[in-house]
Amino acid sequence: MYRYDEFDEKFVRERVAQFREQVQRRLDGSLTEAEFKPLRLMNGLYLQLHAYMLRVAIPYGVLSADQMRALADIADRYDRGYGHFTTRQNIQFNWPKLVDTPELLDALADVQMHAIQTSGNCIRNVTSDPLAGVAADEVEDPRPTAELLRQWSSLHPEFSYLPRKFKIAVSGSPNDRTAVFFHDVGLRIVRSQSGEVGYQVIVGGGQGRTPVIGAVLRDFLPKGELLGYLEALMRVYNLHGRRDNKYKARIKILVRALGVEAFRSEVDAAYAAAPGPSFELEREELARIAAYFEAPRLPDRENVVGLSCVVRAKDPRFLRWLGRNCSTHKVDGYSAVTVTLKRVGGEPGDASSSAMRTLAALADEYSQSELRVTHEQNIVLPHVASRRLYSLWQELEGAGLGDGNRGLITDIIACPGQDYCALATARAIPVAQGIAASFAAPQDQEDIGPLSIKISGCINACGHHHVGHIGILGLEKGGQEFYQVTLGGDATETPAIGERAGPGFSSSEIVGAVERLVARYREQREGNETFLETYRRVGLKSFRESLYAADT
Amino acid sequence: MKSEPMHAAFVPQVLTANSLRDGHVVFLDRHGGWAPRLCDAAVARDEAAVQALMDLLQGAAAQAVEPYLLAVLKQANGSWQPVEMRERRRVQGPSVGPQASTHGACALAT
Repeated sequence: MYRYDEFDEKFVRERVAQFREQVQRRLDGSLTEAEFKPLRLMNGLYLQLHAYMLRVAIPYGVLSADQMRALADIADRYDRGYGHFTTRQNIQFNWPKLVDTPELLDALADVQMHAIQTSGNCIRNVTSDPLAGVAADEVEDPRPTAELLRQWSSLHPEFSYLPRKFKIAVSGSPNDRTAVFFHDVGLRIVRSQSGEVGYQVIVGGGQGRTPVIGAVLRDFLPKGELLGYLEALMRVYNLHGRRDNKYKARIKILVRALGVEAFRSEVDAAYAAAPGPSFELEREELARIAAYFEAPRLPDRENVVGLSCVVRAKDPRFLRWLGRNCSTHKVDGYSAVTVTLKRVGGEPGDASSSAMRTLAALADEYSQSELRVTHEQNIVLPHVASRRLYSLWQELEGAGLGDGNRGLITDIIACPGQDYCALATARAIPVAQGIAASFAAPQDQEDIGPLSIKISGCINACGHHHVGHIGILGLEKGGQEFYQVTLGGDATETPAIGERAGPGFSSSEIVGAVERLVARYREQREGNETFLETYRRVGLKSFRESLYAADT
Repeated sequence: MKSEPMHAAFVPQVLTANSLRDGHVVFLDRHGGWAPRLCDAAVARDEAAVQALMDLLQGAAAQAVEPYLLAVLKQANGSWQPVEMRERRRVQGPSVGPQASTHGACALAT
C-alpha cells in the first residue's frame, strides 16, 4: 500500500493544527459561521439534517486493517458506533461534535487518513476499481495512476476553486467496476494495437439533475502525458466552465455546450501551449509509486487442490456466497471476496464499529491485512486463499456478514436520503429495506439473478438511480414522499441512462411497483437472460404496462 | 356586497438551529436558551411574537448555527409539529438505523 512520505505526514498534521485553531476561534466567537463554513468544508465537515457530518477520503477505496480499526475506534469514540460507506468510496460519520473534530482528525492522521478535499469545488477523492491489482481481466493496476492523480490534485493551487466539484475515476480493466463513464473525467487503462499501455480519456459524464454518459476525448493517451493533458483539460474547464449558475457549472454542461469536437480542440490547444510536460519525470514518478503497490507475495502452494475441498462443503448458503461474492484472482488458488453491507433489514453501506473490527481482523487473518471499499457500498477482502474460503465464510456468517447477494436484487445502493441528508427530498433507506424484505428469500434472489436497484433521495443522485437497472428517485409532492422509477440504466462499460417509466409512486406503493417489474421480467425472460438483457430486448413499454396495469 | 379583505391565517413559528458545539437540532426557548426538544420551544403566534423571538435570538445566536424560523401546527393532542415533511423528519431524527427516533419520542409532546 501507498505510504505517506514525510511531506504528506507533515502537511496533514499542519492542517489539523490549523483547523484546531479555527474551531477554537469559531467557538469563542472570533469567527462567524459565514467565515468558518468554508474552512470546515475544506476539512470535510458538513452540517446535515440532525448534526455535523464528517466525510473521510479513502483514496481509490484502499484500506489497511489498521485503518479500518481506527475507523471503528473513531465511530465509537466520536460518533455513535457506526459509519456509512458511500458511492464514492468514502466513509461518512453522522454525529461528530464540532468540539471533537480536531481530535478526530488527529486520530485519522495517526493512520494516514484525512478529510481534505471531500467537499468544495476541487478535485475530490480519486476512485478506482475495488479489484485493482487483483482482477484477472486487468490490463494494468490502476492504483498507481490514481495515487499519482491524488498527489497532483491535492491542493493544486490552480484547481482549488473550480467552477464546481470534479470527480475522477480510474479503471484498469475492460470490465468496468468504477462507473468510469459517469465521472467528470474517467480514465481507462488500455493497450494500443502496438501493445503500448496508456489511457483512454473520457470526459463530461455525470449524474445529478443532468445525467450524461461521458464522451471519449482521447482514444489513446500515452503514459507520461497524463498530467500535462489533464492540466490542459482542467485549464479549459476552469476558464470556460460556468460560474454564474451552480446547476450548469459541471464540466458535462461545458462539454455539451461546446460539443465534444470543439472541447477537444480547446484542450489540444491548451496542451500545445503549455510548457513542455516532463514525460520522463511522470514516468519515473509513476514507477516510484507503483513500487508501493507491488502484489503481496502470496504463498503459491495454495492452488487448485484447495478449491476442491471448498466445494465439498455442502451448505447451500455458502455455495450461494461462493458463486456470487467470490471473484477470480490473478494468482491461481486465490480469490477476491466481496462482503456486502446489505443485510436484509439493515441500512445499505452502514457498518457498525464491531462489523468494522471483524472485517479488520479477517483482513489480517485471510487477506494480507488489506481491504477495499466499493462504489456499490460493499467491502472487498482482496487476497484470500481459495482453500480457506469456507472457513472465512463461516466467520463472516457468524458476524452477520455472510450474505451471498452481491449483484442481486437485495444488493441495493441507497444514499442516506432524508433520514440524514439536508438536501434530500425523500427517504431512501426505508425503500431499500422494504424491497430487501420483499425479496429476502435467497432462492428468490438467486432465481431473479443480477439486478441492480439504486435509490436516491433527491435529484442530486448520490444513490446513482440513473444507472440502476431499476432506478428510484425520491421526491416530495404535496407534502408527501413519492418515487419516480427509471429503467434500463447501466453503470458499466455498456453505459446507459435509465428511462423514466411514468408517474411516480407513493411510499406505500413503491415496493409493489418493483415487485410488478420483477414479475414482468420473469414472465418475459428467455433462457438465462438477465433483467437488463430482457429490458433491452423487449423495451420500456412492456415494463411500463406492468407498472401501471391497475390504472389502464 | 363588499367583503372584508382576506388575510392569510398566521402560521405559528418557532426558531430552530443546530447547536454550534455538537451540531444537534435545537429550539429557542422562552428564556432565550437553546432546548433540544420542540416541546420546550417558544411558539410565536403572531407577528409581534416573531419579532420578540428575533430579539431573543440576539443573545443566543453565538451558540447556534444557521438559525431559521420554522412553521408549526398544533395537533389534535395539543402538541406542535412542523408543517413541512422535511422539518418533521429533522425534529424526529432518523427513521431507521441505530439512531431511529432517539430524540423524536418526546419532541412533539407539549
